[in-house]
Amino acid sequence: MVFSSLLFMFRFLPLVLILYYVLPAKFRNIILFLFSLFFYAWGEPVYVFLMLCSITVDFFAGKNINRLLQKNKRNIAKKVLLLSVVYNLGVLGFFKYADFLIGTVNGILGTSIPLTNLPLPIGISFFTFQTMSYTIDVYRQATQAQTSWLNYGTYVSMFPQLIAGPIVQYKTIAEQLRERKENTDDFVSGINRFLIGLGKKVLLANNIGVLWDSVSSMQAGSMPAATAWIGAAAYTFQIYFDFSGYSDMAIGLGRMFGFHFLENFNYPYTSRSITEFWRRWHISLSTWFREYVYIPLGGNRKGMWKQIRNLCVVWLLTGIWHGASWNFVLWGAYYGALLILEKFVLGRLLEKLPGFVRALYTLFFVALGWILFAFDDLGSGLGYLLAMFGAGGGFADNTTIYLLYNYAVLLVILLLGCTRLPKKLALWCGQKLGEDSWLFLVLRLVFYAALSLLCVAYLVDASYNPFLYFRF
Amino acid sequence: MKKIQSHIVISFFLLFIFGFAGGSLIKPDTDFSEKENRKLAQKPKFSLDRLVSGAFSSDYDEYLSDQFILRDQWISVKTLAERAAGRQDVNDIYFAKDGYLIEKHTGTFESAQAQNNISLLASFLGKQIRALGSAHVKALIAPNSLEILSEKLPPFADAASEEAYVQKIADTLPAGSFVDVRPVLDEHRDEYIYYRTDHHWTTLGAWYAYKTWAEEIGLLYTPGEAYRPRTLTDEFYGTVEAKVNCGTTADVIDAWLPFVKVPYTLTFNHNADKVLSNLYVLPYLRVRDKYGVFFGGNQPLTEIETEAGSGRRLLVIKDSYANCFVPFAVQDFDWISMVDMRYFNERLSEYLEQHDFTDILFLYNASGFAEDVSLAKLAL
Repeated sequence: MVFSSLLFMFRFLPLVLILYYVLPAKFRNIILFLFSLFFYAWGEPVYVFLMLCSITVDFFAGKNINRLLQKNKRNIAKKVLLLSVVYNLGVLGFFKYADFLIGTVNGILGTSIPLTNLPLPIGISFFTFQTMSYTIDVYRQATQAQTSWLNYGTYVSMFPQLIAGPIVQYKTIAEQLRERKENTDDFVSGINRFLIGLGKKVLLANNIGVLWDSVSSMQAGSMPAATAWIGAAAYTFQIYFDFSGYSDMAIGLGRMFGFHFLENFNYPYTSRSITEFWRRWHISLSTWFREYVYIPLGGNRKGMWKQIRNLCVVWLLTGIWHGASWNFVLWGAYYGALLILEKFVLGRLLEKLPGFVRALYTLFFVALGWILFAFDDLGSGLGYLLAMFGAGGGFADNTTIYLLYNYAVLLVILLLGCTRLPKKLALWCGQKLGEDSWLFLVLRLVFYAALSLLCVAYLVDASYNPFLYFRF
Repeated sequence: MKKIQSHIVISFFLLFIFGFAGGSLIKPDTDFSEKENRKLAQKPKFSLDRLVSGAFSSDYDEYLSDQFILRDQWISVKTLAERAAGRQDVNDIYFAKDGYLIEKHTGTFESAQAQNNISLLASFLGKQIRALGSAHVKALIAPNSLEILSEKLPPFADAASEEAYVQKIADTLPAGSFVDVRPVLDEHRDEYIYYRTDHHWTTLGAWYAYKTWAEEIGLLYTPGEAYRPRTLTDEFYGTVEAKVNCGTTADVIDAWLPFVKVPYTLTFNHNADKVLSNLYVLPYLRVRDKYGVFFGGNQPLTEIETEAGSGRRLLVIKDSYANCFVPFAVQDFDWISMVDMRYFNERLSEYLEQHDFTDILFLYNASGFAEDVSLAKLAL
C-alpha cells in the first residue's frame, strides 16, 4: 500500500486511527503492528513472512548479544552479531542482487545459470538496514536490547516508515516504543506534515513526472538539447518531490502516533556543493553509511589514501543500494569521484566563487547524476546525456516550446518549492497575523482544504501515480 | 496555537478522512458509467488465492477509484486545476480553439501495431484488387480532427505524427486504392465536419468523404441537394469530453434524410427474426452515447438490402466512422454488408465468396486503424 492512494486515506488511515485512540493505551503497539502487517501484506502477501522472519532473527540476535555482553563474552557476542549481519545481507543479497549477479556472471563467462526471477520484496532495502542498525547498536551498547518481540516488531514494521524510509535507527525511537505521549500539538503538526507531503507527491511530483515521461520516451537521437534539459529538470524535480513528499508523509504519520522520526531532507537543491548536497539529501541513508561503514573503516582519521578508499567503498555501496544494475553502480561512483574531487581539489576553489555559481554548479552535476539514475539501461542513459549536449541536433523545436509554456507555471512552483521560501512565507504570515489569531487559523484551514481536495481529485483521476523509491 | 484551535484543525482532518470514507461506503455502487461509456469496476470477490497472488488488492484499488463518491466531479476539478496551471492538454486531450477538444493520440502512430496494420491492409487490398479490379477496391482512412483541424491546436502543438502516418499509408497501399479525403476535408475545415466533444466526424464530414469516394469509383450517387439535413439532437457530449469532463458547447448530430427515400431492410448478425426498416435507432438519443443513433452503434455484421437498382453490391470493412457514412450508400447500392473486424467472428474469405460483391471499401479513421488489433483477421 502507498500513502498516496484512496485506499490508504479513506480506508486504512481512518480505521487505524480510530482503533489506536479508542482502545486502551496498552493495545497501541499491537494495533500498530497488526495494521503495519496488513499494510505490507496488501501488496506483498507472501513476503510479509520474510519480514516477520527478519524481525524474529534480529530480535533474538539482539537479545543474545545483550546477554553475552553482560556476561562479558564479547567474542561470542561478536559472532552472534556477525550471524545477524550475514543473515540480513544474505536476504538482501538473495532477493535484490542474485539476478544481477547471475546476469553479470552469465555475461562474462557465457554460462547460462537460470535467473531466480523473484520480485523484489517492497521496502527490503529499508527494513534490513533498520534491523542491522539495531543489532550493531546493541553490540556497541549504543542502545538497550528490546525485551518485547512485539515492540521490536512494531519498530521494524511500522507502516509510516516501512516501505520508503526514512531509515529510522532503533536507538532514535527506543524510548518512544516503550513510552510515548501522543498529544494534540504533535497530531496537528503531523496533519500539517502529512498534507504537505501528500501535495508534494500527488500534485507536484506526479504532474512533473508526466513531463519527464513524455520527454524520456522520445528518441534521444533526434532530441533537441533544450528538450533534453527540460526533461532532466523535470526528473530532478520529480525525484525530489516524490521522495521528500513521501518522507514528509512518513514523518507526519509518525507524529500522529506519537513518534518523532529524524528529518530526511533539508532543502538539498539549495546546496552549494556536492558535499553539502549529500548532507541534505536522504539524510537517514547517508547517516547510516557514515555510522556503520565509513567510520568503522577509519573514516578520515587514517590518512588521505585510506580516506579515499573509504569514500570509494561507501559510494559504491550507496550506488548499488539504490538498485541492482550497473547504472546505479556508475551513479555511486560518479558521486564518489565528485566528493573526492571536492574534498581534495575543488573545495578551496569553490569557496572563492559567489553563492549562486556554486548552487548552479551543484544543480548541474546533480541533474546529470539523475539521468544516470533514471535509465536502467546504460546505453539509453548515455544517449540521453549526449542529447543534453547537442548530439540530438538542434537546440529547440516546436515541441520544446510547447512543453516549456505548458509546464512553465508548474516549473516555477517547483523551483520555489525547493527553497525555504514557502516555509518563510508561512512563518511570516504567522508572525504578522499572530500564531494564535483566528485569521491565521482560517488561512491554514483554507490551505489544507484546497490541498486535500485537489489531492483527492488527482487520486480519483489518477492515470499516473508511480512511486519512484518503491523498488528499493 | 490555542488548544481549541488545535482541536479545530484535528476535527477538520478527521472530518476529511472519515467523511470521504463514510461517503464512499454509503454510496451505492454503479454498474456502468454513461459518461465514460464503460463498465465500472465492481467490488472484487475475495478468495485466498486471489489475495496471495495480489489480484484482490489491485482489483480493490481499482474498485475504490471507479466507485468513489462524486467521481465525475473530481475529474472536472482536476481538469480545471490543470487548465488553471496553464496546461493546454489534459488527459491527452488538447483544449483547442472554438471549443474543440482534440485527442493527442500520443504514441498511437509510432507503435509497431500501427506499422504492421499498414502491411496487413496492403496485402488484403492487393488480393481483392486481383479479383474485382482497382476501380472497385478502395481504402478510405479518414484523418482525425487532430490532422485536419491542426490550425485550431494550441500554439506549437503539432499533428506531425498523424500526418506522417497517413502519408505512409497513402504511399504503401497498392496504387490507386487509397481514397485521399485529406484535400476535401482540408478545403472545408472551417465547416462543422468534426464534433467538438467526440472523436468522430460529423455527417457533413462523412458526406464530403462519401462524394470523393463515389466519384473515384464512378458511382452515380444521389447528389447533396437530394437530402435535407435534420437535427437529431443538439445535446451531444461525446467520448472526448468524458475524459476531461469540462464544459464546452454541446454537439449537434444531423441525419441527412433523402427527399426520395430508397426503401431498404436491415438485419444485424444474421438475425432473421428482427428485420428493421430504419437505420436510425432513436432511443440512443436519450442516452449519453448518442452517436449510437446510427445503426445502434457498432455491430459485428450489418446487412442492408435496398431497392436502389444500381446493380452494385458493397462490402464495407469498417470502424465507427462508417456509421454516419453508410447511410449515404444506402441510396446508391443494392446491397451493403458492413463488417466490423473487431467483433466479426466469421471467416472473411468465406463471407466474400457467399456474396457477390462488386465493390469493397475499407473505411477506418486513422487512429482507430493504427490501434486496431484485429486486422490479422483480414487474411482469414
